[in-house]
Parts: sequence; C-alpha cells; structure tokens
Amino acid sequence: MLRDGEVIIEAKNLNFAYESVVVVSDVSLRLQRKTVGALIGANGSGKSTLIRLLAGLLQPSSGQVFIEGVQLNDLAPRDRAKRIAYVPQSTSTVFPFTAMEVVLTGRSPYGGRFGFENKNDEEIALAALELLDASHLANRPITELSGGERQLVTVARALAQEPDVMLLDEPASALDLKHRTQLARALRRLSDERNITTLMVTHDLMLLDSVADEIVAMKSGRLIAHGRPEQVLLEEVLSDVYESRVRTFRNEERTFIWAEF
Amino acid sequence: MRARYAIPILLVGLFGAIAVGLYVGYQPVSWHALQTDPIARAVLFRLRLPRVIMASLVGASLALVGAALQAQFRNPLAEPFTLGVSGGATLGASLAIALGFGISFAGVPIIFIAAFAGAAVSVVLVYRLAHSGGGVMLPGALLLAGVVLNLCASSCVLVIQYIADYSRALQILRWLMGSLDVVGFGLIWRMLIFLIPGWLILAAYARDLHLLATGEEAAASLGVDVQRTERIVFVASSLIVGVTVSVGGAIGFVGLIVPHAARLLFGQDVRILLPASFLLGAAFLVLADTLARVAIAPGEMPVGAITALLGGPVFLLLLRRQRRYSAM
Repeated sequence: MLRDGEVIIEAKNLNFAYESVVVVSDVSLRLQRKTVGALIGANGSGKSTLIRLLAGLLQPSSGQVFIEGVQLNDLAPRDRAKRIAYVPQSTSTVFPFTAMEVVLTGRSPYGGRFGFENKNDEEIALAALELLDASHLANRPITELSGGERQLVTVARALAQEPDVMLLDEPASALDLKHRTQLARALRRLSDERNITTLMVTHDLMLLDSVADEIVAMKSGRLIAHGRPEQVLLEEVLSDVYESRVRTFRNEERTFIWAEF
Repeated sequence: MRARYAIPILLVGLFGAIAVGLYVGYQPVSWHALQTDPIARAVLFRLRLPRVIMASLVGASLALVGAALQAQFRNPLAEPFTLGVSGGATLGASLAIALGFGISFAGVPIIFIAAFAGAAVSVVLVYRLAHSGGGVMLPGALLLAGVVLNLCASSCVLVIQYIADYSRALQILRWLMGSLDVVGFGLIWRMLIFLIPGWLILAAYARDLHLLATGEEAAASLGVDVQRTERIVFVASSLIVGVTVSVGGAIGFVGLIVPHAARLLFGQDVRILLPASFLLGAAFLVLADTLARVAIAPGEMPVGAITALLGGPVFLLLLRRQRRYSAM
C-alpha cells in the first residue's frame, strides 16, 4: 500500500509513559526517503510525544528508533543532529537574538567546540530563510516577531541543519493561510529536490492531499491508521480519530473535511 | 560586525582601568618617587598592584559566571547573588570559620572548599526547586527560590555568629563584609589554582550555553547533552563563586549588570558574551574598587556597597522589561 523505497526512519514497538500515564503505546512505524508524512490525531493522543521519541529527545520506556538501520542511541547527539532536525511547537527565548543568529544555530552540529559559523554557513542559513520567504526577518530580534514569524524562523533553523529527516510539531499552527501554504510547498520541494523526509504533526487536514504522501493517525497513544491520503481521509477513519461525526467530500483530487455541528 | 572588535576593545579598556586603579589612591603615585623611594615602590607593587589584580580576578569571575548562568537558565536576572549561590558560599565559609577551620590545609584555605561546597549545594537546590513543575522552569520560580535560599543562608549565618565564641563571630563579621585588600601575591596564586580551571571549563561550554540560551529543546535537538552541560556549568560556577566569595565576600550585582552591558555593546552571542563579560567585569570591579578607596578617603567604603548601588537600579529596570518577555 505504501511506496517502495529505502526506509530512512523506523520505530519499533515504542512505548512511553509519563509517570504512570501511558502516552505512546506499542507504536511501530517506517518512513521511506523523500516521504512527506503527516501525523494527525486528537489533542492528547500522543503525537508530540511520538515526534519527540523519534527525534531522540525522549527515551522510550521500551522499543527502539532507527535511522537508516542505525539505532538512534548509538549515534552521538551531534551526529544525530546532522540527520534529524526537530521543530518544537513553540519557542520562547528571553534574549533578543536576531532571527539570523537563531537560524545559524542550526549549523552548530557541523562546527567545532570553539569557533564561529563561516561564510558558507551564513549562505545556507540565508537560503533557508529565503525558501520560507522570511529573509526580511533576518536582522529582527526574535523577541519582537509574531508567533507565526517565529515559527518560520524555527523551521528555517531546522532546514539549516541539512537533515535527512525533519520532525515538526504543529509548524503551521500560528501561520496565516499564505504562509501555511508556503510552508507546505517548501516541505514538498525539500522532499522532491533534497530527498528530505518529513513528518509533521498537523490539524490542517484540508492541505494534506496536496502535501502529504502518507498520513499517520493516532488515537490514545496507538497508531490506528497509516496510508496514503485517500486511504486515511475517510469519514469512518476520521470520525474514529477525532471521536466526532466527521464528513468528507471529494472533488477534483481534493478532500473537503468538516465536523458536524 | 561589532562583536569582532569586542575583545581588543575590552582589553584596552581593562588595561586603562588597571592603570587608573594603580594611579589613584590616598597617595597618588609619582614617577619620580617610584625611582627614588622604596616605600613608594612597595606601596605600588606590594599593596596597590595585588589589590587591583584581586579586584579584576573577582570582577571577571563574577561577571563570567553571571553570563553563563543567565544563558543556562535562560533568565536575564540570574546571577550568583540573585540565585542564592553567593549566599550558599557565605554559609559554607561561615561554618568553616565558626568550627575553627579558618586556616589552610596544604596551602589551600579550607574556607575555599567550604564556600565551594555551600555554593554547590545552593545551586543544586535552586535548580531542583525551580524545576519541580514537570521539567518546566518558570523565571519567577527560579528567582523566588534564589531569594528564599539567600534568606535561609543569611539566617543560618546569624545563628552561627550568635552561637560561635566572640573572636570567631568577629572574624565571621569581618569576613562577611569582604575586602579586596591583600598584601602580596600569595593568596592570588592560590585563588588562581581554582579559578583558571573554572574559567576554562565555562569557556569550553560557551557553544553549548549559546544554544541553551536559544531554548532548551532546541539545544537538545542540536546535539547538546543538556543535563551534562548543566551539571558541568553548575560545578564550574560553584567553584568560581566559592573562591571569589571566600576572598572578597558577597559582592552583588557584578554578575548581573556586566553581562547586560556586554549584551548592549556586543549583542547576544554567548560565545562572545562570555569573554566580553570576563574582561568588562574585571575593568568594572577595578574601577568600583578604586571609587571605594577614594570616595571617603582616608576611610574606605565596602566595594559591595558601590556595586549594589549601581546594580540595584539596573536590576529593577530589567525586571520591568522581563514582564514583557514573560507575557509571550
């Protein structure tokens, strides 16, 4: 049912609990190179935790994550950062770093302990901002940017890492329609042109037929569906995922989705 | 890029400050007297030079630790004084004096070790207290924990003074006031044995602190071992604060205002901020101490009073600004 190809990131039987509350339960998942994946589910279904487990920011209570067959725990943190980039749901820093300084931190896995970013790093950082139509923010203090602008800067930092896999936790939640579409297009292009695999948590279901190759649906910590958009964006699947009466309507390759009021 | 010139400019500034510190005093130095009068030479080289160097070591250390802790806690109000680290060091040292350990062991003053232990305990306590909300550290909680710890530490010092016999209580009191007054270089060498490793460790973690300042999760995803970095920075900071507090007493606000001045001058990059704060802190305390020596000459003001007079208003200003930050 899924495209054949080289598996880049794989989770095997992941379990995770905060104290005694089980948040992720026996999740196994494989994503191929160049895939744009979307992770959907109701609030509190374990999406963010799963993304963090895949990014190596949380240690599973059992199970493993592999990147191209290598277990994540066997990689040094800085080597991991060259392969997997993570975009958190929100970033808050009290210090007025410029957007460019923040994006440049994405280059740090490639630099030494001492020393600064070089010309090449600066070009990569600027290109990342340009790809997201955010280069005008480069010299603005991050503390003075709107939530959406900050999200763009955070995504640009992840791009500057030049990773194989990008894991994004609701990257578009604070973006307007224009930037949301732009971000989606950028992720699509990154996968097509630079072979980057993406998995993003999103509630923006209507954009998914245009962007996503695969959709992963979670409910109560478990995966309940994984397939192409037309296999997952179905009334019975979505109604189960969101535990409410969801209606869909397909027209010209687009699925329109709404919940009954 | 202004940052590129930060270090040369600050080096020049530091040498200027040292020159001022050497020249200004109850007895101004004259070139002629230096060549002919052995007493004038002794005043300059045995009294004034060690004192200026002591002031620069203490100032550099406190400012460096302030810059590191601000990045580490992502809190512009963090510094050894506000986090209760100085208070812990003071308690440790007072306890050592009260128990009669005000002496050296193998050339190393026991007070150094006791103050280091006190600083380390309080930094761990503050961290634990502020972190006990499910991993999230609230800026307010952090400072509150620091204030409470400082209060506890100073109450304990009072109790110790009350219980200790008269001469030791007096010794604690004299020591609490702190002084940068030293004769000769013996104590300075002994301090450097502890300070230089501490400085080097913080310098080695400048990159990780820079990433931490942009956000904890971001730093972790960029390959920083957050827990390890935090532990190492805590140990190095405690070591530095312990030693400086053992000698100079709790000199407040240097660790707060100097890093902020460095930020205003040279931007936010922690890799520049650490050396810049180090040099600026040295110059600042040399000048503050010079002021302390001459303001009410022939008497002398405690240098901590001068730094607090300058630092208090800066702290309040930053507190006003932080309200805007925390609304995000």
